[in-house]
Amino acid sequence: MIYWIVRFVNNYRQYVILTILILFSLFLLSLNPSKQITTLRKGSFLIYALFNYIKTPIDEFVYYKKENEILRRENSELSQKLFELKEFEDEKEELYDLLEFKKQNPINYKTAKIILKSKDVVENKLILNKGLRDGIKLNAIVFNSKGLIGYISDLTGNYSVVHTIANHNLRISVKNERTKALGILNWDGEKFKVYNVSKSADVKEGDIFSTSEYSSLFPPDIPVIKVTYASKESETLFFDITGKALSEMEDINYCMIVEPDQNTYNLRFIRKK
Amino acid sequence: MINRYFTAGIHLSLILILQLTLVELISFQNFKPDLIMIGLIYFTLRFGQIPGVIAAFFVGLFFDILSNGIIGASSLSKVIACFIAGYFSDQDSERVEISINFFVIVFFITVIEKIIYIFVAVNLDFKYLLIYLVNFGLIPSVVTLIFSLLILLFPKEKELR
Repeated sequence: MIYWIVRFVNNYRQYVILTILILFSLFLLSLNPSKQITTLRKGSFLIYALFNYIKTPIDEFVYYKKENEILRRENSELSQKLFELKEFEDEKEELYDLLEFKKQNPINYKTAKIILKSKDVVENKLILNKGLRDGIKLNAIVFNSKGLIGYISDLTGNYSVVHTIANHNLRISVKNERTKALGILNWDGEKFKVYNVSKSADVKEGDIFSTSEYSSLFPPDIPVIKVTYASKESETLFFDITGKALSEMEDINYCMIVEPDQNTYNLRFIRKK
Repeated sequence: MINRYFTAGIHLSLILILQLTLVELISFQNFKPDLIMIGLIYFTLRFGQIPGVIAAFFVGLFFDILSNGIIGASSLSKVIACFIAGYFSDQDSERVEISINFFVIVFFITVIEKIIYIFVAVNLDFKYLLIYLVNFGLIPSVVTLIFSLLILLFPKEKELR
């Protein structure tokens, strides 16, 4: 019998070993929930924790890099939406001001939407969505609830071109609303300057200059600029005055158009601090 | 003879450490090469079926213990896989020829080992069997096959004892 077993094992030793190892593996598998194996696993867990301790910073680096990318994209999208919301907010405020202006000034004017803004060092132009067919005339005055924008310089059936006051070749006779001091407004390609205001006149920062009665192109009393710098320190006889347009090209989306010969006296423009 | 087994045992231990450290560091999701299987297949092809299954049992057992896995699962799957690999071993020669056959064997034996491991260690939902087989069987086997190609970088003399 023993001989037979020895012979069998010898002949089929690979199967015998395989069977023993499989059975032993199955035995170990069955022991998995036991207390001894749990203790062993706790011990091995320390080694596993050590590997993970080394691995985690690398994983986190890869993960955070990816997460950063996603967050950057989201941030960009949110910024874009915020910018759009800000634009809508500004547009809403502008339309509200126009309504307010209409309530306070019952004059005959046309409103138009600015569809294109062309910026240049020498002259700035706007394209409006209204033209000859809407009753717009050449040299008509363009302004908004805050002040003067420019005049209609060219016309087609459905569109019109506005030459804004930010025009190097344009000189406008203006007066200080507070002290009635007269001057000549010109755009130097970067900012508005008021020339020929005598040093004896009273001009302060924050004063508003509006069109004067001597202007051949614009009717009087339309606000144009707000003084941001006024100094007598220049070597000439005149003030050095710099100003900022009340209707800044960047901020406007809508405008009003009146004929040049229309009475614009006593118009009440919206003033905001 | 014993000295050769001892050296091979040291090599397998190094591979085991590499599998537990370096491979864990470079692996990503299921893209994890099984260096142990490459080593065990090489060992089985070189020394034969019986030394192969014994080595597979102990390496698998240590792997389960050190990796905090299900103890007995890797040893069982590796024993069966190496037993099958043993049929490709040349009884008369201890030389392992690194040819296309070697890589085919590595791939198929690894697939078998992974499938057995899935059935033993994973609480299978048969609805997702195919997904399991692809994610935990086929993909790691392909990655292992690609890694096994690194053997080609070793000098030819290493193939001989």
